[in-house]
Amino acid sequence: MGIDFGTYRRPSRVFVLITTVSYLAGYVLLRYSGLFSLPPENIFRALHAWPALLGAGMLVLVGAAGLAALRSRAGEDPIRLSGNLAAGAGWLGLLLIGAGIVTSSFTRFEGSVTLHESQEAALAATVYDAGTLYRRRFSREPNGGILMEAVAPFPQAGGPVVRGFSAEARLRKDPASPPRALKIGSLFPAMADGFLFRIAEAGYSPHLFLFDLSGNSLLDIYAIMRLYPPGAEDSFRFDKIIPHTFYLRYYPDVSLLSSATGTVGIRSGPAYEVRIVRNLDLLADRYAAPDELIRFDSLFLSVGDSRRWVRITIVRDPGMVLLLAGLVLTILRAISLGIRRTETIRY
Amino acid sequence: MTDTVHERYNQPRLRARTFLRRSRGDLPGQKGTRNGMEDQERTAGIHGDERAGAQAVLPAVLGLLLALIVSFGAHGGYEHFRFYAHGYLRQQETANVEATIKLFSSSVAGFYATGYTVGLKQFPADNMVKRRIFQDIRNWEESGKFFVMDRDRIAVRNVEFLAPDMAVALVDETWFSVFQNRSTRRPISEKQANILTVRYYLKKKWGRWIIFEYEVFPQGKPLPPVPVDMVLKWE
Repeated sequence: MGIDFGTYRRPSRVFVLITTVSYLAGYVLLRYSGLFSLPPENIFRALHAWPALLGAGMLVLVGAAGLAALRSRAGEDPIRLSGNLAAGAGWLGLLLIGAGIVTSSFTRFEGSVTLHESQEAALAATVYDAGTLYRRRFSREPNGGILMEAVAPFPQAGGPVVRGFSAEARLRKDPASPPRALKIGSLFPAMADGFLFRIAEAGYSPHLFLFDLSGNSLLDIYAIMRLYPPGAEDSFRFDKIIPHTFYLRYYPDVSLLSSATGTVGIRSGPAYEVRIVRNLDLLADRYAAPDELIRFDSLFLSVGDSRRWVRITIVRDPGMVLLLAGLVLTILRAISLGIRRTETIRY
Repeated sequence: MTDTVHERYNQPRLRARTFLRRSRGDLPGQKGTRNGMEDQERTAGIHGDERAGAQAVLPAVLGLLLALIVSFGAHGGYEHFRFYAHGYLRQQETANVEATIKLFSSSVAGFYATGYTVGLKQFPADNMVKRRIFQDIRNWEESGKFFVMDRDRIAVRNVEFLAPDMAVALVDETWFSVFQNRSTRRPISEKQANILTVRYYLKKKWGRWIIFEYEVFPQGKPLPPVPVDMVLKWE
């Protein structure tokens, strides 16, 4: 079982291939391990870093060299044709994986936009959630606007647990063109104009009112908050207006909440848990029914109905097509090699 | 068994394929006569697999080693690794974070009590946090009041580092607050106790820790998890 170092004097294509693949896989795994840097947001961010691009470039070279060697041997022996085809598919697969990573690093566009029901937004750079816009040198951005028509949860069969969300939206390329209907699911993304739309997150968006003591409405907004699943807490502020922070939890059915019954004036239906803080001073911490007025300092807060919101991730990445094609070919080649090996042992 | 293999070998298709592999060097059993060669070839095939497996280990290890070296050198990998590997560095930073929080709360108490901005330069807070505090102080001043906050107790429960330059600290605090008349400084309200748990989010900027966000909870209440994905995106 000893290693014969003599055979490694001139590295073969397979040697270079194994080195490259393990280097690439090792690099991505180390990025995710968090040992040397914060874990990347997704695998593409790791693959677009220069160390991974070096590996991808090497894959392209190895794949091309493998194909070239097969081409030079073609026609020598007709009986080898099927074997050559399988090997060719394998080398081509590796070349495509490498090319896919490199292409993706130049062309990927990624951004998340959060919309509540009946909200419309123009797909401009400013509309994307902070820190989610990811553009490469030659990436193409979506244009036009998107209107979120409805967001619906789809429950687990026979139970109240929500399995995911589906969103119905309308995409308009420009004001003159007819809108295109999009149905986006948590499990199945939608495709339009080369862009992939998928639901990254969903939640409740409560209707917030701020009144002064005379009953004048100072604010009336739907705030997008991470209040899903029920009981999850999020906060909001009316920055530059008042220094308060409002923490909310939303319960779609108060009857399921034993700690709230008795403190809220209602026995069923939705309820909110509200906490109001002014810097380091805790002003209120209580349950409230929809539209109930909560007094703090010289103001009133009221939380009305709630809409649902979704965070949609929009991705366009031509490199992904190459990458997937390459993966399919490589897997097929690996299967064919596995079958061949089994046959050899059977002799 | 041998008969079966022999019979199978005699099938023209399999014979051609085995010959082909042997000529390509895929099968290690190239020695021996044609008669009775199958067993030898079969055994050699298995050993060949082991040998091929052993030979694949070297490039795999080499690739992983390269990945390790590159990760260590790229994206500040060395600093990141060093911070998590050395307990004393984290202890040092934990002490810095604790000192920052204490300076923050004593400064807040001072600003509220005096209404002055003395010590603003040393105040370890992000601009938005400063704005909220001074907006509150000015609001009370305009209504002819002082809102005086006295810090009674502060105990840092836990400091966690999301990154070498980002920390989350959980602190139990007790504050007493009272409203005073702005001109006479006489109390115009009852003294109120605020027993809180504050979760501070700190970032290291220009070599010092600053508080760029905090969440306030009544003490004893279960805390929601830290929204790590969001926090890491905060600029």
